[in-house]
Amino acid sequence: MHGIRRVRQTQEERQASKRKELAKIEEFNALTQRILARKKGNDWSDEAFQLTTKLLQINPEFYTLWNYRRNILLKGKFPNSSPEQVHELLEDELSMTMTALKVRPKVYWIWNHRMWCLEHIPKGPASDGEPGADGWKQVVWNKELFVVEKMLDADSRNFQAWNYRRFVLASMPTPRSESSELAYTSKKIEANFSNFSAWHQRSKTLTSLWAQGKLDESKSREAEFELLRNAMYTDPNDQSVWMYHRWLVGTGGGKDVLEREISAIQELLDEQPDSKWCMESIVHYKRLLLNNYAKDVDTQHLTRDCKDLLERLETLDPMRRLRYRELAGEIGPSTS
Amino acid sequence: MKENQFDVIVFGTGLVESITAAALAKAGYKIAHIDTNAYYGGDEASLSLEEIVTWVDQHSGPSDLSSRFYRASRSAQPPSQSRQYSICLQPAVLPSVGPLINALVASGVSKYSGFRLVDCVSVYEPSGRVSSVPGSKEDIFKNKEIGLIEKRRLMRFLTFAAGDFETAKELEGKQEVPFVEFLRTTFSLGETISSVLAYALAFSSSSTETTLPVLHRLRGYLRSSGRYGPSPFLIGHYGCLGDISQGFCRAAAVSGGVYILGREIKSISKAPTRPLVSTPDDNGISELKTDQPFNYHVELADFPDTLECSLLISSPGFLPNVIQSEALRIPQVRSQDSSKLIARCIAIIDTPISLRSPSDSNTQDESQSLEVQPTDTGILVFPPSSMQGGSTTHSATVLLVGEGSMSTPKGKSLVYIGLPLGEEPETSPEDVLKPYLDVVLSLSVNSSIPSIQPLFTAHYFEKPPSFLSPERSSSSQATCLIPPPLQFAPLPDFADVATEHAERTYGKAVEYLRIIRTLEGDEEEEVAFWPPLPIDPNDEDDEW
Repeated sequence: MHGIRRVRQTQEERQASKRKELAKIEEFNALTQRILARKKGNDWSDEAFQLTTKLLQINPEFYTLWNYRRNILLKGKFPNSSPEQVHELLEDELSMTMTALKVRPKVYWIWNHRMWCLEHIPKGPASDGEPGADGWKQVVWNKELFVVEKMLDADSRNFQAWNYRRFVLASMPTPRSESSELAYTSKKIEANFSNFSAWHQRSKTLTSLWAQGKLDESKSREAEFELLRNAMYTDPNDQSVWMYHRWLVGTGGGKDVLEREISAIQELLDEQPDSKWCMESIVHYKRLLLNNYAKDVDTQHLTRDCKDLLERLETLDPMRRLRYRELAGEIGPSTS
Repeated sequence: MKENQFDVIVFGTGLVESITAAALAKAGYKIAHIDTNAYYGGDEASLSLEEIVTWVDQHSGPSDLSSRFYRASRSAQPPSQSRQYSICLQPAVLPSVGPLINALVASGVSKYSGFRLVDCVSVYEPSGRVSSVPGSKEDIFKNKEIGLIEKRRLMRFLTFAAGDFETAKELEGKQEVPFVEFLRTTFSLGETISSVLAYALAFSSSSTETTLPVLHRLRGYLRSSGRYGPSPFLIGHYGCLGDISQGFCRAAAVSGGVYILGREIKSISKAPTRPLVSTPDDNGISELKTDQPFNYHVELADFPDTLECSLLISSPGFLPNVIQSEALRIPQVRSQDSSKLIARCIAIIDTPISLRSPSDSNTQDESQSLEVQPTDTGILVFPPSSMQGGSTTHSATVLLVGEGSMSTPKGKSLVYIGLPLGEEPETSPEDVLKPYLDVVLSLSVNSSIPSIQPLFTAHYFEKPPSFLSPERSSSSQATCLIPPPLQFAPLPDFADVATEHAERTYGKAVEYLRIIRTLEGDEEEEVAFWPPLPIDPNDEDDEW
């Protein structure tokens, strides 16, 4: 790092820190042996529980221990506890995993344990406001949504967090509205549209809203095309935008939509002649025209266009030239 | 060295001198830092409201040789809570990437103060609207006024401007072309967007500024966004530059620098020259062995001792002619502005205003909130010819400073307006700036208030320090250094230019000081601007 004095470790210092490390490794191995022995012996005691806590704090990726811990809860602790006590135990588990996640936000096993805890929250009213048998559950799931949103604020492209978000939304006793979900994806896309996960979530939400009739499909589709055009023109290199566009075109609209989009992309290509994505997309959509509306289009012209573009792509993107050549072959012969 | 003897005496605690003093003190030199004012900061000082009132009254006369500031006027009744205002004579913002940030971090002075990200930068359009300036990909994506093709061209330009454009073919042969013309011809950008880019993104002050220096500046700003937040600019608490100057003085004091404020200088004179004794060694090579020469004597009013030093660092104003003529005027770094003077305004308002355009979002699903969010700290640029009654040659910059920057009491905001002028106007600074102030006062968040009444206003003219060529009449080693003068610079540039001046001054100072005395670490050829910061032993990374 700049500006920090370099610490020159002497030979002795290096050996001393190596010794410290070896001591730690020995301690860890010894602990591991002890716990695994207990596990083998079906030890569901509180002592065993505390040992798992200690070891999992050092190495939260040791999934065997998470499993063991869950078994201790199920077989050792829960059978003798009232619903309130179970609730309390699980809340402790949630805060333990929260602390672990702050240090290691991407460890699958911590998330897994968290999900298990959330699902095992018993029925019971909450003290802070939420009434009814699902009170505890609602509070806990609300908090969980808050947690996942904080994670997405920190890194909006964390696909695991997006996945988890879907799990949370699906598990809530009183579900959130899908239009609020749509608004959430809008917010994330506005902040940075280079985000596959946000677009993906948007596609799922829109499909559902359209199916339920809550949103006018063709109006909504037009608005999406408008949004996409802004993204395309701002950054034609962003892959997630083109992927979403493919999906959107696939949802319907027919020949008119296809032709209109092709000409919008062509305009962009004229402005930015080196855009590989524009070329590839035009080929893709013209092929769709050829395959689905052969009787209503100028097949010769379209085929010629596609082959021309694929030839240009071979020069522009030589690493994929064989693919473009294969695609050109699939289009079929053009009579010149 | 005796108690009254110093390696260096620095006069004036402006930003350049303060950074230089801190660097010298931290490098291990013994320094004395003197200012005739009772406060730190010199011409960049942050003053309380009462102090500003006094300052304005002192500079109300016409232009004369003694001061750069003149024809100052103010409104009659200043509001109360004077001490809660930190009003800076040189309003500025700091780019997140640049020489001053580096100096703040490397010297440790950043810990003495707090900083706030500027909320937004906006531009005044000829239609009378004020709208946010699109400076990033996200801004451009969201913007509803820019057409699709223009968005593409704008992005293409910004990508070019943020990269290594020195060798780009777009720039070939065009470095001297006026920047606005460059945008229009080489990047086919429209008139409106070119104006916004040139004046509100790159902070050009006039339409004649050439392309290459503007690109350099713009790249710095583009690379600054995202470092601490979306905006590229920070503002320091308690009046930005004044507090920062004071911070550097504090750093110097912590390293042993002696500070003397508020004393009149009775005399600065050259000490009688001591002959250098040369003694040839075994190989017949003579090395000039001498005790450290203390070349200058300084006498202050009401101060018992005469101060002696080897090196003087000062702007010309403090120095008698005989010393000035032999001093080394350190050359400037960048080609600087040729504005004759600057018209300035300081206003205090107690009504929140907004610099953002109301329709700032592209989302069609959000419930449209008709409430406009007030801006705490922001910048508004008026390009040349954007307004009736405004300048047709230069752009005006408005800096809004709210309570978030700890420079005002709760509920009050400061409005700074600066407009460079090509020639001395016949009217007063108040008349020159009235159209701009009127626009700002019309931006209340509360639409039922068409025009805000300011609690206080002050206006003045500022002449940049005179720039004399860096020639010296004497060929002997300079023992007196005059840092490069600070000409007018755009709002975000001033602080970085000042830091560069300080760095050069420091370099020249050390060059001389190493001849006359050796410090530990002097074996290294390179002169580091700041010594490495000590590492915190409690900072161990104990991860498995």
